[in-house]
Amino acid sequence: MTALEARVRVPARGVDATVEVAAGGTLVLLGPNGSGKSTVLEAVAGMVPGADVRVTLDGVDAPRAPRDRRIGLLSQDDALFPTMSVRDNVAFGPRSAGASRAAARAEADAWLARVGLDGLGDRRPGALSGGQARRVAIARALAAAPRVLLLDEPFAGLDVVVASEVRGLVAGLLAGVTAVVTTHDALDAYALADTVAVMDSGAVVEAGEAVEVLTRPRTRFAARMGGRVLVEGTMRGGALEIAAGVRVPVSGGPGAGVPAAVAAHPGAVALAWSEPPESRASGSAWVADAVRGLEPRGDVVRVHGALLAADVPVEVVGGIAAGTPAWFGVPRGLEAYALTAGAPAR
Amino acid sequence: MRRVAAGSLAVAAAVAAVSVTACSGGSGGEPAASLAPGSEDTTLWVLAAASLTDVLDEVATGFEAEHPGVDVVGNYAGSTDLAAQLLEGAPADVFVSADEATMDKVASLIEGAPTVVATNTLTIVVPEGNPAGVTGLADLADDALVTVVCAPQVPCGAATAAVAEDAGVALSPASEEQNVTDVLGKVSAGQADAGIVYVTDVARATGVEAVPIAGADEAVNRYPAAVLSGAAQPALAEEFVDYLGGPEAQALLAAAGFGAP
Amino acid sequence: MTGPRWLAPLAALGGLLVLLPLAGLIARVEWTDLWSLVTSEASLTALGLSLRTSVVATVATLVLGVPLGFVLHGMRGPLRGLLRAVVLAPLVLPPVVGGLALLYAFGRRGLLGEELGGSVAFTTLAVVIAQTFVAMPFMVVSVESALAARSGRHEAIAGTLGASRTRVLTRVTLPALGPALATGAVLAFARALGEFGATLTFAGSLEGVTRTAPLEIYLVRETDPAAAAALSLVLVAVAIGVVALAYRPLRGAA
Repeated sequence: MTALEARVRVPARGVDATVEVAAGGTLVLLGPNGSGKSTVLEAVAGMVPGADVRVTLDGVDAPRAPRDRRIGLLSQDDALFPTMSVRDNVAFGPRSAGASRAAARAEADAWLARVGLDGLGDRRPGALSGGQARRVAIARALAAAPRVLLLDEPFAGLDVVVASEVRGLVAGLLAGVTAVVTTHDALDAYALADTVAVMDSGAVVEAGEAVEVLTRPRTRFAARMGGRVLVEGTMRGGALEIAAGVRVPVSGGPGAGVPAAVAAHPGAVALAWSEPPESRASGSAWVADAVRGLEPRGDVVRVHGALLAADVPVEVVGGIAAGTPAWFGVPRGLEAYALTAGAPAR
Repeated sequence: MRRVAAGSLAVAAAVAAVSVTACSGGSGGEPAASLAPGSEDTTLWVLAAASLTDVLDEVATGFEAEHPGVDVVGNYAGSTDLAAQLLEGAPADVFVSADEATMDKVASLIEGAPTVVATNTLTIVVPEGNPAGVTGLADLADDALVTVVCAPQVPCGAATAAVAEDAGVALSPASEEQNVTDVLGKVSAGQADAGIVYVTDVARATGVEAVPIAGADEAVNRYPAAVLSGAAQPALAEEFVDYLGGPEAQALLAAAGFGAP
Repeated sequence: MTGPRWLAPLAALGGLLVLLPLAGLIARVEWTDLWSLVTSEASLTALGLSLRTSVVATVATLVLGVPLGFVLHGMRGPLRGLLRAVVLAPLVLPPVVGGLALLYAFGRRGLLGEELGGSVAFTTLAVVIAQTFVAMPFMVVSVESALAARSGRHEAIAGTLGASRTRVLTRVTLPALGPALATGAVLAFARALGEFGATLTFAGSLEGVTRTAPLEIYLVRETDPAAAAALSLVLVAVAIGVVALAYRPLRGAA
């Protein structure tokens, strides 16, 4: 069990981030494409030339050479060695650590069985499906017995069924392994994370216990990455005042006058457009806004305003365009929580 | 006197032919014969052994002085090389070979009997200062001495073998070269301690000196000259061959180290 | 893409320029005597020497040219361009110039001095040196361009799996360079087999020691044209076979 702490600065890519993982824990680095998550991972693995990286393992500076650092990386492209059999790919780590050929192969076969690829050891990587290749890459990374394992978007590029299977596999295999997983998908964070760090434009904007960051985000960005919409305001009695004269009754929350928020599911936020809704009629507190953008999400469309967002069925968005006046209805009774003074909402 | 490189012979011939045509057909139907004597050159093509390179240029200059309007173009290469070119149909008026065997090969292409115009003898050639202290042919049997000779397949090598056999010396060459130039090159570069070439080759080369071979006179190399049956200028070619045997040419050949016929 | 029609006659001319000399050579071969000409003692000795020296030279280009390719690939800045130009120069150098250069380096009066130079002169080693000198650029070019086409990801991943640099080289990089190494080796072998000028100038010509097949052809081309044509045909066949092998469509990525 190894605890990891890393400070990564890559000025050329605008990355300056610090990540921490407790021994045996899993940190999920949550951020959109281009936020610098992969750069952080590769830098920690020692693969980014010119990066200013300080990595400590259990409080001790990690060796510079990747070979001695023993931080494994599962990259998005799998990077299986095409000239070796699947078995030799997995046996590569043990062999590099000095295991005999026979021992390394036996270990490789055991790992292949563990990732559900029993009997595929003689195949060439080119003859594998995407899901199989990902499993081999996972087995190869773990067989090298890394002190820390970094997984870069481990379920990207797989179809939903395969991704779900691999996600379940990884969740099981990471038990007790110190790991950092990057993803842009809140689902992965819920499935794997002990702690979550949200990255935006090369920096960590919010970090903490997974359940805290995912369900009580302090920043709009973190809320969006966690699949929520952050409704900020100030406590007034048992309600959260989100705008002048607009109050929504909430449960819990800090005392009066304290900045607080609720994290609503976009699907639970009501939307009215073109004409203002009957303000007293529905069970929501309505906030006047204007449409900023439409984000297709399968059978629903997420309508983004300047402050809030709501999911509406895809078939009703015909009359909605950017600039259309809109009113977002925040549901009553959500749990409110105090926004820390140190983390201003973005 | 002009000189052309071996490969450009055919091209040069073609160009000459074109220019002659152009002149004879030119200036509004004026017949070519009416041009002033000497204003239009008659070209005589001579193929000659490489060892004759410089001396034959001088001979040609004398010949041209006696024959105004005649331009002798010399093409020098290894005799066997030239013979091969002739057999492939290269056009020329005169052929001067470095040995009679090569002349025999083109016997079907010559007019009349060849005339021997010069002789040459073999000599040991050593780098300047003779660092290995070579004194005679017998030294060349020593394995420790790096000796370079012509391959027995080519005329200078055949002559070398004959001289060595006459002297009862078993040569142990480090390399059997294609031609005299390659032998000379390796000796002058100091790569070899000794080589065997013609007397005239040493006279032309720098950075080397000769060590005479006792009894080399026994294996004299004869240089036959002949008029080619395909000659464009047979009469002039005949005159050139005669001129080679004459006193002016012989004096020049002797000065270059060649022996009398 | 087929291009405009007027390319066709030019292509035909280009093809003829290459095909006619080959046809001329084939026309000169005396087929009835071919076997006896090729299997004559002198021919076999020369061919055997050519094969042996070319194999050794090919191995030498692998042992020396592959590291050179790596070093060139790893270099940056103007020095890289300069060094590459120098290393690749034998590719375009007139062979006789290469021979002279070798002579001035490895000859008895060369840079290495009398002792070392004297022991190389007129030996089979001199032939191998000349062949390696002219063939190595093929290997260097092959390796360098293959390395340039690699992202280095596999090597980086291998490092995170605990592999030493040597292990990364031998187990990951070199196997991946396999097709490039094969192409480089085949071309280097062909170039070594055809080497003539530098050998003639630098190594000499002695049957069984330094007279390779091209030198034998050069020697007998006047005295025994039939033997020269027969031996030439063998080299032409080898050349065509080798080039076909080197430029065959590769399976998978290089």
